[in-house]
Amino acid sequence: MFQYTVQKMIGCIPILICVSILVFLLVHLTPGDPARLLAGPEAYEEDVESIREQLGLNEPLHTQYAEFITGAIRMDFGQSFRTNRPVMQDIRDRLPNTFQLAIVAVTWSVIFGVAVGVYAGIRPNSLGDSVSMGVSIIGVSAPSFWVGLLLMLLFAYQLGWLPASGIGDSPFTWDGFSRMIMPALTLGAATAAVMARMTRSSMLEVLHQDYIRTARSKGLNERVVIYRHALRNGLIPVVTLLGLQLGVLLGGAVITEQVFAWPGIGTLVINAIHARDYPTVQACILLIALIYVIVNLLVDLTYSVIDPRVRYD
Amino acid sequence: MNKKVLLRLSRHRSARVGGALLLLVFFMAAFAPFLAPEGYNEQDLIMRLEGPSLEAPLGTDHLGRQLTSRIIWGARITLQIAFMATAIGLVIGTALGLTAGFYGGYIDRLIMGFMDVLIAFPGILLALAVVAILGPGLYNVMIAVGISGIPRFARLVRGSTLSVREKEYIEAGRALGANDPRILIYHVVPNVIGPIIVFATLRVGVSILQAAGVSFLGLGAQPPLPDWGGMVSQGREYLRGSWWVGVFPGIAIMMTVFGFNLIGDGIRDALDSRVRIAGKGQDPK
Repeated sequence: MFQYTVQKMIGCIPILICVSILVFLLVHLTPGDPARLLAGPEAYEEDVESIREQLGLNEPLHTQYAEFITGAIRMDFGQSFRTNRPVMQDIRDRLPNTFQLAIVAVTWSVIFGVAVGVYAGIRPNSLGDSVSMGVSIIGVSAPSFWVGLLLMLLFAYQLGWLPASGIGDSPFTWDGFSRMIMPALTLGAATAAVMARMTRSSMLEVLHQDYIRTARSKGLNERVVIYRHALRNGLIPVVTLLGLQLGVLLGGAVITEQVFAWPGIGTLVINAIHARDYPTVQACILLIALIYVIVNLLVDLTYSVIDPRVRYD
Repeated sequence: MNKKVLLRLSRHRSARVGGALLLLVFFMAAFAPFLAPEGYNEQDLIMRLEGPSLEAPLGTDHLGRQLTSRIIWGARITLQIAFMATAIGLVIGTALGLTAGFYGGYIDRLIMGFMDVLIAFPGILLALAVVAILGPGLYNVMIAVGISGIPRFARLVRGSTLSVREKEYIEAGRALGANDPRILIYHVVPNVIGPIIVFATLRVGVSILQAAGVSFLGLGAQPPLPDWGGMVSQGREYLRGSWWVGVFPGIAIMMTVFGFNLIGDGIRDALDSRVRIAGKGQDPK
């Protein structure tokens, strides 16, 4: 297991290096001169030149990349063009907010999605199955930003139960928690729908296996058969899906945060794209890709915990 | 798709619903000039933010433009983006996946290594990164969403190609003197096309959602084009008093994606001979 973990971690390094090259090229492939952009359209050529010098844009491309990557390793992505603060400081302020939202969204969507999937899977073709699967396919089809607006319309504007947007001081106070409900519901909705569909089909597959028949013929309680025998094996493809869904969720956070004015990494990257603040765009995209790769590695390693048949050595 | 598959598809209940929805959207797109009450940018400021009525069935927006007209015209833009983006992913991804799976070795490692890099970015983020480079706009969104589909198609096609390339009919083709492009086009592609069709159909839905997301963030088709995602974004500002501005374009997006998802599920079941499709209802698996 240890050897496998190390191998997998080493395997991620070339991917991350290539990701960093791609992200670095973002600035250099972009039409227009970042120095001119920073100096403004009215600036004198000498000022633009001095900014170019300052940013190291006159250096050869490989030297610039070497500087970028050594900076990235030290978590130093330079100054933001927009806020004039170190990019890492902006990220440090906002990353916990995105994590907070993502954790709540993942938690509710997994619990809810798996529960609905199990319910539908053990009652195939029943009314409950049809309704839950119908709702879940609509959930997959609805754009998340629109779901967010519908929630906002209902709970904030019509019923007045929840605040429409923003973030509270702490998620452990009612103000903080109530502000998180709608963004977390919005962010997790599609994941919950996908989870429910996957769990259902996985349960249907598993419930036809011989060991389930054996367990039933031993006279085990149906509850034990389903939760101890079927669900544990049925969850393996669901865990794989969870890894993929976390990427969707991280991407989805960009949109959800924008809907609810949630000050996370998503709003930071969108504001940066609009303002052509390339150091921030580079840093955010690199960081999200890094988180995605790490999460997928962790999901990969989780297999052995839930499926003893998977052996790595 | 052969006759048998088409027959199975025509019997599939949810595929029928999906087909009907898509027919409606295609009809709207094709006959927009005849169906829409007026042009998509015809403004009537006296009628601004009017609720749904007989005169304006889906209400009007902040510039007094009929939402019915804008949604009908918008079907053209949505389908255009979705099909172009899917086609970009499909053509480039399939070519790369076929090459990687068929030739194997360092070509496979090189291509799939690059695909692994692209897949390390969540889809919408990759699309946003590409839009950040190219700038906002209708065609740039197509390219951006299309690029994010390439690694997904490539992975799928490579996997199928790997299993097909060892088959006897490939060997027979070689023995008859067929060259690699001929074997790939006439022997490999027809045998890997099933999963590609299913994935492409589902991918059209994903492309619509991604493009709508990019437009919602203000980086897609620019006003006054009636892009559904952009219209929801405008509706956000008037949500409190004029809910219809953002709600109806969202329903249009959802119903279109829903249609593609149902058709995709139907094609998957129709291609899978293990799934029983009867006139009414079907096997759970």
